[in-house]
Amino acid sequence: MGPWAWRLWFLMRGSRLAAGAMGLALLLLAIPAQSGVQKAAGISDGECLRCHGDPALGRAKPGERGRTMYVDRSILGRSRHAKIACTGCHAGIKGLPHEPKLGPAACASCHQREAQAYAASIHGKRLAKQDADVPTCQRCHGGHNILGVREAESRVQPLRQAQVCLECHADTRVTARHPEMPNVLIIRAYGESVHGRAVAKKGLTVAPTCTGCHGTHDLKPADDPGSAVHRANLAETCGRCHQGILAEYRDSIHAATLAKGVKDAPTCTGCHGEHTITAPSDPASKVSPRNVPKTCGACHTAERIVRAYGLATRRGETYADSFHGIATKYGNPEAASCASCHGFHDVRPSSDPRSRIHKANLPATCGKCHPGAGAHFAEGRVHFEKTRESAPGVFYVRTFYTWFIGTLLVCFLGYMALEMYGYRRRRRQARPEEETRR
Amino acid sequence: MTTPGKASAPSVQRFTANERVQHVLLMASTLILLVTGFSLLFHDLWIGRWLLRLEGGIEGRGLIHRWAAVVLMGVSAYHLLYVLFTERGHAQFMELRPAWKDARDFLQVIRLNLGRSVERPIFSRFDYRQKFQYWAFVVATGSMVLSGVGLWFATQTMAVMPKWVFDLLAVLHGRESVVIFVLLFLWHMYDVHLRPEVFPMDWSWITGRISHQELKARHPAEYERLRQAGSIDAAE
Repeated sequence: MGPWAWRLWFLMRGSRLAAGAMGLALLLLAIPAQSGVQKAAGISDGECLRCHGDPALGRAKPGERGRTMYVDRSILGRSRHAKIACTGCHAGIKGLPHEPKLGPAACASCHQREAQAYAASIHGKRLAKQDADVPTCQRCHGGHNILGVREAESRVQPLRQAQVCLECHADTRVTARHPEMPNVLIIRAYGESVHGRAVAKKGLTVAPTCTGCHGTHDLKPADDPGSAVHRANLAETCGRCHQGILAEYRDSIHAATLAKGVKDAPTCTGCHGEHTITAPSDPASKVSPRNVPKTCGACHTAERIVRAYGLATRRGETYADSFHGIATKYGNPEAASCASCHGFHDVRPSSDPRSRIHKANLPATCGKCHPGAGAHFAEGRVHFEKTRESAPGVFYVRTFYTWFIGTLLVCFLGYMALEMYGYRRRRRQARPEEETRR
Repeated sequence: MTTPGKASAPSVQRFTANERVQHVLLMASTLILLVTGFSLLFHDLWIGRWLLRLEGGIEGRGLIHRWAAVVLMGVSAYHLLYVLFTERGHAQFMELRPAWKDARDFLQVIRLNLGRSVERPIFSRFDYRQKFQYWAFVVATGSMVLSGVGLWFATQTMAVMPKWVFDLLAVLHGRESVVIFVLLFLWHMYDVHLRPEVFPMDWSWITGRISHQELKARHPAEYERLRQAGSIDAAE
């Protein structure tokens, strides 16, 4: 520290600003100190720019492959790395002129954690297999123009980040070379999802882009148990933003079953969809009132699942034939669908006393729509197959009417036939000559 | 056969304007109730889907159905008062009471049609077909009104009755509607449109009148009664 700093300290001694001023002074002094360290590497930025400052350096001629070796100081100056010397990233330069081919920028020398995560990611593993299509640091973050994730111009800033992934994942030339890559249409669907629209249309930076769910440097495919979007981890991933919902879901039969390792049990995306996710108010949503029966039914009316896990049978079909089911199907958003009674994220079996459809809770659950619903609401089952054993009243009324209507039909038609027969017969007797002429 | 321009032929009044309005209201409300009800009963078939769209969806359907039900219940209540408290209504009701003669008439018609007899039954003001139609409709409408009101006020119904009773009402309401349909289209429509005696239509439900000739042929006892009372010229 120079003597002027001591004078400042002396003047402000005892003041509340002293600590702040000390910090500021130290910071100001640290910058020239840092550049001093870099100069120690031996080669200064000025020396690099003697060649790389020339716009004509290594510029590709028309029709010639290759890229310019020109470094625009103004771009570098606006970047996050403005204060880093050339050799800070372009390590391995022993002397000038340097080797014609230098290795990649040494990002890992500072960003060790990111580099480790990247090495374990699907991108890193592919890179290790010499896959030329795999993105390295620069492909996503940019090179000399690199900016912080929160800076508006950054390539990985939330509002622009999806575009970076799409550069490869929506490029059919890349996906054609890698059939294991996910379908482009699925990825594109994100743009119309509630998350994609929140980012693109509403400009929300808190809404998830690709990396929000899939992870950044540690990105892994969904079938990898370490992936943020693996079925065992997905609820936690969604729950980072949807905390209240995660707490409800954790206590549900679906989460409990999934925790037991049952792959068929739904996590968030099982009901809400993945890239296509939309708000329940959107009629196209998998969880819109009209689509809920179809979404739940995908498992609860699927013979394989119903049989494998001993679920109640014919629940979907009998619901669809109930007044609630018909009203929901024909677009009445107020009619009860599955979730209206069973709950949404906190769905629990009727045997659980905390379940909304536990017998003790039914008056309250039905009472949401039928004010004043009493204990009688719980007497008798809802949307079940009505057989002789399960619903004798309904069964016998049905059987009676089947026979009654059948008998009526036979009697009425028989009576008509008899009267027609008699009519024709009497006419023949009354005018025999006319009949024989015909 | 009957034709509309029968004004020239001598005729008597068979139904008063009041009765004809009752019939038209009953007919209109029942038809609307059947159509809007069947769209729910057959919601899985193309006809149900098509009808539901026509009726303005599930809510429009319900609204139309319940308004038609109000009309039906209104005309039924009026009819009850008409029968109980008007002289004319009471007299008509007394004529509609079932009697053993109706069973004998029915058997006689069967014998006649089979060619076992040539004797025609002497029908009074209402024959057994019309009496059956009336009483079948009284019973059917009654059960539909009771079950329908129970379904309409579902919350209140289940507040006093268990859920399975409600299920029973729903099934009853649906099946009984099919009975009414059969009753209307295979019995009543046959009786007033298709029977050779009246084809293509018995116009009395609109004109309120029946010609002496037809009355004599179809309701000979009534004809005789009116002739003796002096309402019909004996010369005919």
